[in-house]
Amino acid sequence: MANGRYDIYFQIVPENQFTGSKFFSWGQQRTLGVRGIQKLVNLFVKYLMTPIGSDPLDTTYGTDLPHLIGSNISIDDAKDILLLAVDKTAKAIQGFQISSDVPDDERLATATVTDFIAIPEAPGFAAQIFIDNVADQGLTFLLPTLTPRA
Amino acid sequence: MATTVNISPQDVASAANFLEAFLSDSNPAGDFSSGTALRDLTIGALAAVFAFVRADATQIRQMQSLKTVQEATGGDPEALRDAVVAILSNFFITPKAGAKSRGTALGHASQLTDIFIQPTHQFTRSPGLVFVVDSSQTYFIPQNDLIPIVDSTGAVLEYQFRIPLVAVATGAAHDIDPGLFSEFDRFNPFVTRVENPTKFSGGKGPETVNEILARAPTAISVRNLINTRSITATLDDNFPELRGLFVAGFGDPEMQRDRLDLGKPFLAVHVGGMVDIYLLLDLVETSFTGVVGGLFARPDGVINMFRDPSSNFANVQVGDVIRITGGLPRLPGEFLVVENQGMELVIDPRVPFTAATDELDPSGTVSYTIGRIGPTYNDVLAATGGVPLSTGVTSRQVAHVGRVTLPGGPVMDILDVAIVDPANDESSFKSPVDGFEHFPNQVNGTPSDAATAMAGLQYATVIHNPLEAQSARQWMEVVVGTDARPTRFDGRSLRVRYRTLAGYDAVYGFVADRLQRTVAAHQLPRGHNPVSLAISLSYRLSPTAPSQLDNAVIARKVVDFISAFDTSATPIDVSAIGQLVRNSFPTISAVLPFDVTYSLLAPTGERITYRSSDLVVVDPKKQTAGPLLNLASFGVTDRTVRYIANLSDVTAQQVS
Repeated sequence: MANGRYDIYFQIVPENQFTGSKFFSWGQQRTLGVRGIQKLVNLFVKYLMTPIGSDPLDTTYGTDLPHLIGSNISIDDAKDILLLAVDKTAKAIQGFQISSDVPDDERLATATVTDFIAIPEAPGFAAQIFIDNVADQGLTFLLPTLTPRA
Repeated sequence: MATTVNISPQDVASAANFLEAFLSDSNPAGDFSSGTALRDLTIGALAAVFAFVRADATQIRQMQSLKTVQEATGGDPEALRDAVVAILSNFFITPKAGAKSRGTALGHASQLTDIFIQPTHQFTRSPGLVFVVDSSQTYFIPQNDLIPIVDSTGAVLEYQFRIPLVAVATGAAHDIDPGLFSEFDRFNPFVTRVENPTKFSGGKGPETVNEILARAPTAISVRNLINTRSITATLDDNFPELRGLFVAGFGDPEMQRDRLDLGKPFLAVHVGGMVDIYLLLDLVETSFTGVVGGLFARPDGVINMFRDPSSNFANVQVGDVIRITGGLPRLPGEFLVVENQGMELVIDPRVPFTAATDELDPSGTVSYTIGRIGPTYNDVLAATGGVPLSTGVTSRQVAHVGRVTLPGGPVMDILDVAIVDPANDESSFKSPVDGFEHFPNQVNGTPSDAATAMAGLQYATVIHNPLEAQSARQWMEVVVGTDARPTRFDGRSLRVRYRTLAGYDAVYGFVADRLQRTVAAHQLPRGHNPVSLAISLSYRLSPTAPSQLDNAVIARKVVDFISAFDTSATPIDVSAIGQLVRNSFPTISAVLPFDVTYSLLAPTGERITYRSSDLVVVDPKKQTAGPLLNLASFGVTDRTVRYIANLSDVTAQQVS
């Protein structure tokens, strides 16, 4: 059920078009609105991928996950940070939604790291995160491409 | 100073909430809630700006109101002052720049010389405290006015002269204590030093915010001299040195000048049309020298003297009528004789002559007859055949034996009366200090010829127009001719040193100006009726006091206290004076009980003395000397008296 109010849809920039740490784009087409679980994923990803402290109006917004880019942290520690970031993001999203009139398909139920794929030669990692809404719909997206895998 | 706009996170959150509500109403399909990208773009980017604009608007609103401006300026006094001035400037109210300190300095010269002081000559007390002579033109002191100071052998040590000084800048810092001027421009090669024997006064800094706000209710008014509010506002704006004023108008008990007496003691009506403006201005010393018995113009300008050197007024009686048929405008005119002084007749001042023929150039005469039987009025004095005499003179000049007339203006207290060129046969009365003949005692009535040199000569003051006392129209005479010898001092120069109101002439000129005055009223700026206090304090020092106290400093403290006391709210209490001394000088263990003696210079010129051990008020029950006058009939009330003191009448002494 996607009867909520729309947000602006943004999407990951293809890997070969990365510039610096700017991963997101409004897309190559005209601006799109988004509702339902995809809106929830956008909400989740935006929080997860915002470096904490970078929002001057809310310095608690975001996580430490983007700080991993270019850092010399070990893969094992990176996994812990990912888990913590996903957990913080889930709690923050639920905090936003707890007092709001949010449709079930946009209300976050759980967020789970379902797979952590170390890439020693990069070095780096990829991860799969499963987003589940209250309407019991689920969506998996893949870091760093954020490509959802239904 | 510019004000700052501060916004808090709460202000930004509040702005964001407002924008969210606004945008959600405008676009119900959009999700502007927390965490959305839409909110980041449309609210997050603008919330801080919107919060600033809201805070700025709030602050502007606060800055427009005198009630909230203090909060808006965040405790910055300079910003508050700027904001208050900006608000009140919308009503043409500007802060007063302050007032300049004034006082009289004493110059010392080694030789008898004429003194010329340019307005540009500076007298520096200390760096930053600079004064100039209180005159717009070259101030001239003739050598006759210099006072010789002699030693016990009669040799002249030096000459002294007095200089009215005014500070070049405003501010209370210029109210300097007595002392020597460190330097002064060399206006005369024989002047050795300049000092001020008394403290200067009147200095006041720029108007504070609280003072501006206190003045605002009356300042916002019509700029005409028509009621108390507007008179206060207008004079306040134009004369920063004005410390206060009281307006008496129609119906006020102090308004007696509009009373029309109808011939019987208790038959009078108030006709209105008069306004008395009592001015609270600082006191400044001045002096006047005139020839005793000489001709003086009435300061009130009333032309009611009639003379004829060719005629004899022996048969003229009070109540006779002078009928003038030629020589004056609007004739014929009939004038009532109210006094026959032998060589001259005095007519009713309420219906005076329309011109003074002795002031015409060339001087003129009038044609007249005097009589009791109308319509010709020629039965008492006329030429042969009852035709008019043509040698009459109308005048405002008066000459009274034994007297000088002071210039118009308030006389708050007389400091010294002296003949500066005494006759040889008066040598026993000459001062060994300056060679003048001083009159230290003011009396009511005619001075006694029996006054000895030891007791001191006497003088009296007479005010002929008591309802216009202490104004520019006051006609005050100083009487030195004695009961046995009224002409004893005639022809001699009498110098009267007295204190008047600083800047009074400017206020009078402003109010009387044709452009300013209220056309249907006679407004008269005037000084309060002065009450001079005399105090003799005795005190004990604490046994632990480390040193003796300077009695002159104690006396000055008391004088300053009395001069600054606002008696319009509460009267001076004798115990408060004692408390003041104890508080100001902690090493004083006790001030002995004392009485205050004070005297009112009544509007008649008489001095009425009182004594009190509690409240210092003009109360007949406290009167100890002087005539029993109905002071209310002269407009004297608590609101129209002013209590003053000077160092010569206040003393302090230590007792064991």
